[in-house]
Amino acid sequence: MQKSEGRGEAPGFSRRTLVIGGAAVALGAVCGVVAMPLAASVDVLRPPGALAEDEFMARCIRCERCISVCPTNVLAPMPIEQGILAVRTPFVTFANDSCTFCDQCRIVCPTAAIEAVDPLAPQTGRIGVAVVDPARCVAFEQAGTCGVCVDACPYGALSFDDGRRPVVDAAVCNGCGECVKICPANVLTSFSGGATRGINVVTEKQFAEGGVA
Amino acid sequence: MSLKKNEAQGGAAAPQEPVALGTRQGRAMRRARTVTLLAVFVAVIISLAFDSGLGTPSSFGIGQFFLLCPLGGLEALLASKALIPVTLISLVVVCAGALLFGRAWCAWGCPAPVIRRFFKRDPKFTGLGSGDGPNACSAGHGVETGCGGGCSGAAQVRGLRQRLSHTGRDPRTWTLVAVLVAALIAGFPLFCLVCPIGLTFGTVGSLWHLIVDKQMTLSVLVFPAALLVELVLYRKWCMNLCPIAGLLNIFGQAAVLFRPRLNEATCLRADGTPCTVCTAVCSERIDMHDADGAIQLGDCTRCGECAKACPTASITFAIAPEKTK
Repeated sequence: MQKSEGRGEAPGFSRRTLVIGGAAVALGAVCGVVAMPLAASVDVLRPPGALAEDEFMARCIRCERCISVCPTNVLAPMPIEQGILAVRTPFVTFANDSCTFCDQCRIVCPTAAIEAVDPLAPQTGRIGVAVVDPARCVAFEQAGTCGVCVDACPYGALSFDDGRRPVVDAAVCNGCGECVKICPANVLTSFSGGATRGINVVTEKQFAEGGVA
Repeated sequence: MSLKKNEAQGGAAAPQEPVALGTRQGRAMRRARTVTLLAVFVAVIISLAFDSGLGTPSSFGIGQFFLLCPLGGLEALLASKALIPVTLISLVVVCAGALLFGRAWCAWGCPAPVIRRFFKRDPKFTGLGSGDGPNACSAGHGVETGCGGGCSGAAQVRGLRQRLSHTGRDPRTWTLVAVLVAALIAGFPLFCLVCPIGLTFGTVGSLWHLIVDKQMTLSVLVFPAALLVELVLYRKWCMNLCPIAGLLNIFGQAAVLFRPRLNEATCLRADGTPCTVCTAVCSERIDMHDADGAIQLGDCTRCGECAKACPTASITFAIAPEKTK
């Protein structure tokens, strides 16, 4: 409608154009200022090699290409319950499988929001850190009953302590999720109402704050 | 052919009640657009099912060879304040495409018009603006488009000024400015949250993850709801607000391939009949008969509806640009 209104005007920029333009810039600025502090609002597991959260959020255009390419389907779009600003950005979930560090998500990212990562050098970048949950781990309930995660870890980051309970070497763990995938705690305790696993991968921030997911 | 001609003359006798004649090309373009859009949805689902990484229209391709949404790419560059090489390369390719075919994406790839048509909520045509007759303003400010006659520098400058003024009057240009300013200040691509294209394929994706991965999320309800508000409740999103249209319009001024051509000899307007069928069916309300018709055609989405609806089949699309007279 506004298009046809303008047709009778003489060519060139009118005062009306300046007013609309100024209003547009102001509106954009207001939206930007309101949203700015919320940019890095979520603390979730990002794809391996993802940039720091604020830089990742700056680049991710939510095209979901990394999610669609992931061969083990550990990437999923962020649900809206996690806050509207991060919705549709990729996060890692190990409910069904683990990360093989195949590099596909980095290759397909159109804005280079994901960098190359070496699974054998976790200190240079990793998905997160595995943390044993003593309240849920079966081996803590009864020593010697379970140790599948220790056998499963492809990077040798898990070992047994004196009581044959799993211990994570946080310096070696890259958060691949193999231990989470294989942990049977949620299944073994499902009759008593348990639904979480005995080992979980947490973000660096959660790890620094005490390691509870 | 002779039958077609007779029908055309029938249309000429009763111009106020346009008969569905148009050209075969117009009808073929409607079918081709439907097929193209279906192919996009199939590709998105194949991509999810076979982990092929084809992606969504926001970014699609094979492996590291991909194209991305030009608006999303610009937003990411502004938000991250970094010159990301892979993004820049893809942006250059997308912009080159836009320089050739203008807003063709809007009719051939974007799901928004189809969603709106499904709910029968296309914006109504309210007649030509400012009450001017078909040729009323042609005497006023004639438009030099390109270098028709004597290619004087002054005429070129004037044409450019008119193009700029046309772009400046378009509200979508200013939505684009607002979106880019917001991304720059917020530090992340804010518009991607509400983009109808993103919401459409976000809906497809969330449905997929609900069914296949049992991911229970409200996204499957919120995305379509937001989409309905933007496209169906507010039916003029594409005409008034879409910043992607705003961005492509800028390139569209230079895009001369596959534009509609008017055969003025057979057009009803030739004998003064005030027919406005082509403008009425046009999603951009382009009036090719207007004095600044060539500039308005910068907004053309190459949908072919005008060719499909023209009662005298006077509009055709050809890939090569029209020679200036």
